[in-house]
Amino acid sequence: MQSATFLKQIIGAIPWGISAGVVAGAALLPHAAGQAAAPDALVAGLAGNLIATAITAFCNQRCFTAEGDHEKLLANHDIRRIVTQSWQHAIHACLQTVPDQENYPHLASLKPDEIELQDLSLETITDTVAAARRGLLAEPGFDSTWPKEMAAWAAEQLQKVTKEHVSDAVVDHLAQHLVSQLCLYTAAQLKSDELARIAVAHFSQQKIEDAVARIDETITTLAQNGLKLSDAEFQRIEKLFAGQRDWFDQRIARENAPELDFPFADVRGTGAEFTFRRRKTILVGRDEALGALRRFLADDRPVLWTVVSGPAGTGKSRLAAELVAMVRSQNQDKAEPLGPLEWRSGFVNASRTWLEDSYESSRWHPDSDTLLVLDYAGDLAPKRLAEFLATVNPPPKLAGIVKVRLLLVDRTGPTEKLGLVERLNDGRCEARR
Amino acid sequence: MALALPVLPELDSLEVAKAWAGRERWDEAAHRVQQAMERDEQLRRPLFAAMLGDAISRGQEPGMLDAPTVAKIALERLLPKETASALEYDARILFALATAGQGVAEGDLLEEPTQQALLGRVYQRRDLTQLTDALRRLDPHHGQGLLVAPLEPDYLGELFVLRTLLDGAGQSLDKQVLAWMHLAWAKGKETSPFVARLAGDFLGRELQVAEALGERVEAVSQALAAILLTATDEESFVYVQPTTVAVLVDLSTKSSDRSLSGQILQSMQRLHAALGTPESALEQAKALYNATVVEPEAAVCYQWAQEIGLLRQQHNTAEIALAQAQALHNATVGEPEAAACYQWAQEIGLLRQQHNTAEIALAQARALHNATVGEPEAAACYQWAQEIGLLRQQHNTAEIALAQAQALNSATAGEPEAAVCYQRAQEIGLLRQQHNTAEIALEQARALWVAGHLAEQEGNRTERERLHGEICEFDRAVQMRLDEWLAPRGFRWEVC
Repeated sequence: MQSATFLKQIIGAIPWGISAGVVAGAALLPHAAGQAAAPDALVAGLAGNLIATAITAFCNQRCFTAEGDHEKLLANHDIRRIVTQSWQHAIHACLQTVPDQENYPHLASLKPDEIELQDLSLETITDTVAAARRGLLAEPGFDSTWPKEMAAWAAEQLQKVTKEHVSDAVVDHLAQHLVSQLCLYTAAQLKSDELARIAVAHFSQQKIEDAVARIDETITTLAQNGLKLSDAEFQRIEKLFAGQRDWFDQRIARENAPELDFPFADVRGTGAEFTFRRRKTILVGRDEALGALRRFLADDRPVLWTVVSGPAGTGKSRLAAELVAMVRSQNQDKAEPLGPLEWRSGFVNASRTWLEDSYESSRWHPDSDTLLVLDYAGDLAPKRLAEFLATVNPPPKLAGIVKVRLLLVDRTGPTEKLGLVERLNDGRCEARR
Repeated sequence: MALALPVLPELDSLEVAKAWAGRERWDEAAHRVQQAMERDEQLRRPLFAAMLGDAISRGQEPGMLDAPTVAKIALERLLPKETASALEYDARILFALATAGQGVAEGDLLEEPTQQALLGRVYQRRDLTQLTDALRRLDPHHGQGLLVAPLEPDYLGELFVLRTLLDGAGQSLDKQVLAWMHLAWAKGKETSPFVARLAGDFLGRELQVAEALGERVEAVSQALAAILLTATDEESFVYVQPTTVAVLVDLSTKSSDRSLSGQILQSMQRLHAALGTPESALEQAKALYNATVVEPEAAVCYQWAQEIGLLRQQHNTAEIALAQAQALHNATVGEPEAAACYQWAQEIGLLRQQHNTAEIALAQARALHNATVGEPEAAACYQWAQEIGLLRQQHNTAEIALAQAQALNSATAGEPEAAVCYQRAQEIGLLRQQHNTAEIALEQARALWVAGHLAEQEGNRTERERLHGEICEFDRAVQMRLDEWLAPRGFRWEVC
């Protein structure tokens, strides 16, 4: 099967079942707890996730117990070689299979045969995992034919995850680094995913919700039966894992957050004389418009979008930039991360691929008040933009507390022919306008 | 809330120009600037007011004082042609390509085939370093990424690209544009929006642009057409954003070159003949549909709808069927004959037999409503309103309900009896129970008013008062819109 082959190419060489957690684990939720050996893609996937999480927690506890241990572990070249090869395989498979490599610049620039562990940056890992997932999702028949094959294969992989593997893994500092990064993604998948929807299609919502409720119980079973840890070891893992959950959640939210440009950034060069970014032209005659935008920010409704339109040179971007500057000045010099009632604001210009790629933007749940300016919004694919406007939300625990404001800048009036409202034509997003 | 930014009030735009001009030169120029702003509202946009002030500050008071002229003077100041060395000039050509592409990687701009194609030569070693340095001096965002950023603001960038293309073209303008734009499409980050904005800013203003650049208007029109047409050729099409062609067809109707719209459609046909893919068929269908949006002649719209039908014979998809249905609906907009409208609505019905989507049903409902507009017989209007009701049984959307309400309202226009009109108003009321929108409420208020008017003619003032009482129960906003509707007809409605 093409899909299973692809999957194995990506993760087959990784011996710990961790990548099974990353990719197969996308199916993410068990329909019954504690059945690690059951030939079921969901159980196997979750097991991969949880083992990855457990290993990370275990590593955190054990890795740096003594300075001498650390040095000794670094010298373990054998583990390094295995991990290196795993990543070479994964990167190679992604480069051969994933169609839109331009969306993964850190991956595209790699030469898989020459990669060494020290070359793997967070960005590289991020791109590789994201590309692998993208490739998998694009596989024809993935949702119908893949689970059975994958179930058997993932179960087989799980059998390989023995105490010895864990013990070996624990000793390598670099491997631990990789695992912790991968865990961010596995934890992300525990929250929401395209594949979760596939899971929903295969199993009832109730079963999945039951399984989520029993995650801790599942960890217990896996840790005790799958890894055969001692009680003391297990208690440490449990404690660490519990302590890390919030941290995982926060990290995931930020990993998927857009990079925001401050529009009045430093611009030089001959070509910059008349750009709004220089803020050289006095701002007059726009009090009313700025007032309307302030009211837009202050509105009680949690998520709102609107459009600033006007022909070339009317100062649309400048106005949006002034609003961003005003919001930023309220935060003064406060460093990120910001919390509720603190505004994060900026232009989503340089990272528009973030918006166009639903993988990241659909997982972004802002945990502080947020003003996003989408300049040239009319150039974005209307369907994706409508979907984003309709679905962006703060995380559930901050619902009603955090505000999200999306300011779309476009030349054409929103209700004109080919204007944004006409193009978006989506009742769900319209309800937030 | 949506914010449509107007031009600045005159005093504010004068203040912007004055701030750029400096007090010293302002006094003698102020009166002329004021007159120019009164003549050309475009100059009251902050950007153009700033460029105008900048021109004055350098003692270069523009001769024509219109938007393209002040932009050209700003361009001349930033990138003067006369003082540029050959190497600087070449760097600008590369910078113009980066502008057309809305950002091109420095490596792509400097690779040998690109240099050869654009500059007619390949720089080596030390010269290449100097060329790179010259390019970086132009780049507004140099050091902030791998891309050479475009010249900003957009309008200035567009004029810069046009000037560059016209400067280097000589006798072979089309050829030059083609070679140049193929590189922009292939290497640019976002060439599609650049082309769409260029069309939006310059089509219909070719004469002003030509005068500003000191070119013949034919040359400017030819260059613009050649740039836009590259969006529909086989080599570039893979890079073109889905909505761009539709936007270009729409904008091309503004061009002083009356044949441009047709050229784009023909180019789409050639493209589809070459590619023959469902995607190219859909693009062509969308382009044809979009042409019907701005085409006033119903017969022409119908012809284009039929052309979409030919595409659908090859690729019978719901999206192409929708384009055809909407084109047929657009044909009914300009068609005064009710019978023709009804026939085209029936044709949409045939499409719906194969692709029964809510969008196609809406196009049919709207076409049926348009048929009622030109139909004098109230009974026929009512029958067609009922046909819309049948559509609504399958696709019960607010838009289709509105079309039905409008058709029911049309049925009151030729209806002599107050009681029948009141019955139509009640039927609209039933629609409102499911879709309580302001538009449907307005339709009901109109029907009630017509019923009241007829009741008065029938001598039944009590009934008229009762009906007016019903209208009084509508929102103030609806009543105000009723008044707006009545005013040109010689009646008024006092908001209750």
